[in-house]
Amino acid sequence: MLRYQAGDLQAFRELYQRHRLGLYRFIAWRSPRCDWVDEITQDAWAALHTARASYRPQARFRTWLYQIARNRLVDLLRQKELEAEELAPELSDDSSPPELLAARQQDQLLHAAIRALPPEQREALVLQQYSGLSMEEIAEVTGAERETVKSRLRYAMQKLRAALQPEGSPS
Amino acid sequence: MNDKENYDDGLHAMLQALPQPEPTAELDQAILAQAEKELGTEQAANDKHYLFFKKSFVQRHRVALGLAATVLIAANLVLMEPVERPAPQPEAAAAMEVPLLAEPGVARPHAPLPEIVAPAPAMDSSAAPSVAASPPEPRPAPPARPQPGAVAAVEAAPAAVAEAPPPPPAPAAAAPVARDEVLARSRAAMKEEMAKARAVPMAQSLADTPDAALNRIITLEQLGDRIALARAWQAFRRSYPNHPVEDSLRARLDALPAPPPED
Repeated sequence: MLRYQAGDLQAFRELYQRHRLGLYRFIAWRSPRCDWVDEITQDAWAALHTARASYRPQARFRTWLYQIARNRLVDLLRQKELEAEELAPELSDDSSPPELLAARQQDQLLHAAIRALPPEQREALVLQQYSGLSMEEIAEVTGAERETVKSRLRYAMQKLRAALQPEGSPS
Repeated sequence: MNDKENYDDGLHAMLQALPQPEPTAELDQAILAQAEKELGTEQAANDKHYLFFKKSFVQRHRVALGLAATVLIAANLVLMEPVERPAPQPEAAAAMEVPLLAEPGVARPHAPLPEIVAPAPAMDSSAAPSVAASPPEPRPAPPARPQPGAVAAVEAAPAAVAEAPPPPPAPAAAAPVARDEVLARSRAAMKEEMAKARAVPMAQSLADTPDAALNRIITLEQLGDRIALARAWQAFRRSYPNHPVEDSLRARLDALPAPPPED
């Protein structure tokens, strides 16, 4: 990051390759519409580029990156006069192989269950499961206490289990 | 409840198996291109900024540098002018002429000598003229008849000269102050040297090296003491008959009248 901060393009390439998937998934799960994901992602990386001068080595780069992306996401959603949780796009319609979705109805159920989670629980779950952040990192990114994050994750998993349980089976 | 309790192995596997969106190659290219463009722009701006300072260091300050150089050169020329000007002022040169041989009918065989080294022995030191003042009056001719106390008078005169205070500095109307100071110092040093030369007895002067004796002869010539000068010249010729003497000086000394016999 320090090399990138100094203007090293190759350093940026390395950082991008390291975090491109996690950040993209985080934005995709937070974005209310699929066609906004690329735009928001590109804008988030641009915001990182703008804010890189303010980076301090004491901070972990990954949490700093996700904080920038998260703040930028909120700003963009405000500009579009939409709330992130109000729309439930079909995330996998465009980006996931159709045959896979057709073959795995359970995935659709799980996908719908995740979308149905409260935003804070969904955010914590996505950051943990698809972006690879630890509880401490999630707490840092979201600005919540570690115990709060832990509680959000616990409730999210409980809801997912309940959503995936066949009707009539004991939870 | 620990962290692992949040994970249901089956649910966790299902979550990990859930297909996730990935950025397209076009998006990757766009993000990298954007970063490259911005970093390149910054780099170019930095390079341009660097080149601006590097190239324009002389160009941007060329006016100031030129003015500074002009001021330095002008100041140097102004300060160095009195030292670099070798030729004396016309009035100063006229004042420097010395009536060495003041007898009427005797031509001056040499170029004029500086006035500062030729005060009249009998002249009142308190009335010494300045360099730039009117030319000194001719010294009264020495008595044609030998006088018993002539040598004593000659040897007593330097003491008066030595005790005489240095003449006041010349007025600075025609010459710079620096040159006046230099002339004043030179005049004082020369008078001191002359006083020393005249204070030395003739026998002692002849006992020195021929060059020292010749220098004293020259000093006596500048002082205008013709009797002592003639005696010194005769003694010098006796002591150093083969010592080379400048032709003009020799001609002047040979032209001196024979000195009266010493007591």
